[in-house]
Amino acid sequence: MLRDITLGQYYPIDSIIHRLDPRLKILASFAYIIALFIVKNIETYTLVIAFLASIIFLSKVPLKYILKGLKPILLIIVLTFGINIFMTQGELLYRVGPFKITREGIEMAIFMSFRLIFLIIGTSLLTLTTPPIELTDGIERCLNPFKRFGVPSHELAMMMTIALRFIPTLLEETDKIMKAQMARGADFESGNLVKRAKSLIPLLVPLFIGAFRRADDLAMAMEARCYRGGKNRTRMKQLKFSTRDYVATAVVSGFVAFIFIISYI
Amino acid sequence: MSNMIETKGLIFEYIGNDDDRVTAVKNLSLNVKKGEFVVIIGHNGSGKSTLAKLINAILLPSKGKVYVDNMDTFEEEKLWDIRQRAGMVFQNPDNQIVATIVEEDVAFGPENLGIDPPNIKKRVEESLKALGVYELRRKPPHLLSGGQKQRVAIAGVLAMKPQCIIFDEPTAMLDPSGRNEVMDAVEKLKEEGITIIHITHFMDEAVYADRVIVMEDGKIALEGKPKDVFSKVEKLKELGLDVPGVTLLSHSLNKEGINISKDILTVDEMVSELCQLL
Amino acid sequence: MSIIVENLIHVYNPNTPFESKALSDISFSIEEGEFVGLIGHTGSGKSTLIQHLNGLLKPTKGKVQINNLDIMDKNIKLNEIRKKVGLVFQYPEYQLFEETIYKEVAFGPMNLGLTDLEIEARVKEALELVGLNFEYMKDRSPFELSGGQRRRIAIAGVIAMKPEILILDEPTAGLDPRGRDEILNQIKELHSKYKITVILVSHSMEDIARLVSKIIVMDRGKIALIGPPREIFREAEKLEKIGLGLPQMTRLVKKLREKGINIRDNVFTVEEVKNEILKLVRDKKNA
Repeated sequence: MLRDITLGQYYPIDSIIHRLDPRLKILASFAYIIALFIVKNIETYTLVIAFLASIIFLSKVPLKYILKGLKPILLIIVLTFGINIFMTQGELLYRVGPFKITREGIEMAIFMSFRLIFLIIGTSLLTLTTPPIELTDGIERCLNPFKRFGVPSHELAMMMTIALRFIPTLLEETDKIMKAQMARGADFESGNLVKRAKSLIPLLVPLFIGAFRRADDLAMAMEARCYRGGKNRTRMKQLKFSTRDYVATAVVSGFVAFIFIISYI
Repeated sequence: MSNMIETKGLIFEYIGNDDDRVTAVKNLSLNVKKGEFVVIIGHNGSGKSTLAKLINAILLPSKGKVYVDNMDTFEEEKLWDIRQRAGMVFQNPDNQIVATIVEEDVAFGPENLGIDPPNIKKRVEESLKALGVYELRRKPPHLLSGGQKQRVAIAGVLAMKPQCIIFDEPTAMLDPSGRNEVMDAVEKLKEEGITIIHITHFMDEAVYADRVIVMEDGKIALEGKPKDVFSKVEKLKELGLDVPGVTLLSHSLNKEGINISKDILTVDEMVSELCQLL
Repeated sequence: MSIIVENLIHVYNPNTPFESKALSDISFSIEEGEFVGLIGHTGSGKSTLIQHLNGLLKPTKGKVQINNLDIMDKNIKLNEIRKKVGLVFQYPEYQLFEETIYKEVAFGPMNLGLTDLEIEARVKEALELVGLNFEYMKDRSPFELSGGQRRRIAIAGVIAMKPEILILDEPTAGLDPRGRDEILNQIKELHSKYKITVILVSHSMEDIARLVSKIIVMDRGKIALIGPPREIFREAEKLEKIGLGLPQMTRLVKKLREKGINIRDNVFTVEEVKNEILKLVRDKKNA
């Protein structure tokens, strides 16, 4: 089940998209999200989809793999569809009990579901093509200008790094503790909701205690390696804009500007 | 030669489970010379890990002093100098690796020291090569074996260019091949002139030390060259510590009236002694 | 309680890019009341193997029979198997979760649906078996104890289920010599007193040599060697090739034989080697 989540997972191949500067990719993702929300008609929509399709093509990530990432949010998409189809007023087509289905409702439902799908695909493309370490680096540096307003950019990035580092470790530990308790006769699978929730105690308590112990150890190890926050800290990897990045920046800003112009003017 | 580490009348107390004071280190005075390879042995609760943390200024003494390269660990402005000079490797390899990629983790220490980027790159490369983990530099840590993880952790400390490294039971959680990997690395660092304080409860890891210190109940119970310490078989057994099999053998052969050297530590020494005898 | 494993194959994540074969075609049997040592590298498949023995993992192919019950048989409840086969994982002290030691040790027996009276008797017996005082311990929190004591609580939690087969995965990992000896002695006592079958997974040839009557050596998902310790340690070359350390005395004997000294090659304790050397010295004097 956990393997289905492509959101937040890196797809390690080499492509022109993979090689772009993470800062550019983060900002471009934002621009893409904005573009997605200002689009109002089918024609511009097609344009956005074409843009997304060409990026997927350039990234060399298999489409099947990307679509797999939609699985965990299928429920949300269905919900969005349902809410829109029943809640929109307009020309009546069918009546199902107390619910009315309207032409506008159908249009809206399709429109919103696709918006959500493209939103997820676009943003998962960011994590699929950017190694976690570059992503956190990029986020840190994108947030740096806001430091003066009290945004703890370094701390946020460090937290993300540590979280990413320990996710596999904790997953492994969860598996181990579950098995150990099952060997003692624990049953995680049967019974009603209350019983099941209760049966999780033998799993969650050791897991949390373990996580705290690790946090304690890690804090000590970091201090022993002279960690004292972001002050005076340098970085081994420097992010540098190459010609490729400038070209990509030009393309992305041109595209967003174009969408903006045809949507509002 | 000057002292790398010096402790004077060192006492450390903490509040235990039942709100009573526990004294983990009791009036300990210890000097470690530059370039020395010291092994500290003792079982759990003997105060050996507390001592390690006191040297690295993670803990501060309740009484007495600790000097690292003549710097008092109480002096706050020297804190980072002390930690840079006396690096530390911990027991659990999983809980001391910070980054999601090996080379980024090794860079963590130098980055904290504010070294300029090209120099960090150089240091990371050198350290990874010195520990034989250069090929793993782009791997995520959770895919490495225990021995590999521990060597990455050592590389991370080495990249800070310390003069001294304190190993706090780095082999306790490893399998025999992992233990060998780490011990080979430790010996290599010693040859490069780095002062080493190695804390362990595996006796066989003490065989190649310049000096062995046996701790019991916060105090030094035995101290000396490995041969001298290991020849005190009865005392070691009384302390609940292991004695290498060959040392035990030479001891019991002696008891049977056979004239054989009492301070044998390795299989090879035993073989050459026995070849003369038989 | 006998264990029969036939042509056991286990593949992790089949039909994915992460597919890996952990066990390939393993067959062996363990008789009732045997004390078996299981040795092998990390990644040799020993953890995978022992998880099959109480149904935590299912064979990809092959058969696992516990006392003539096939663990794959649909009519057999896995809880029945787990009641009979106790499994103590590595670093079991990290699985503790209850507020008191009594509740912690009682968790297993409670899952078996025993009466309160029976549970109390079992908790008491189990705690005493691991050398802990019931009255002193029962209301304390397991988290107040030292690492070695916590581990013994965890082992008691499995013993209290009164398994007929007890499997321990590296029960001494990370312990100091004193803690190690205590736990190994308790396991030995448990085996001789209750005549249960014990499978001890360990890296330490020294520990295994001292305790077990049969050794299974695993290497890359296969059984490399199986037999009584004396026979296994004779295969010094093979063991070294696998990369497993030999007991120090075995290494000594091997080197002495290489030097042309005629010492018997099936001795591996300090006492045995001493006696052999004394004999050789006497022979030399008499000659």
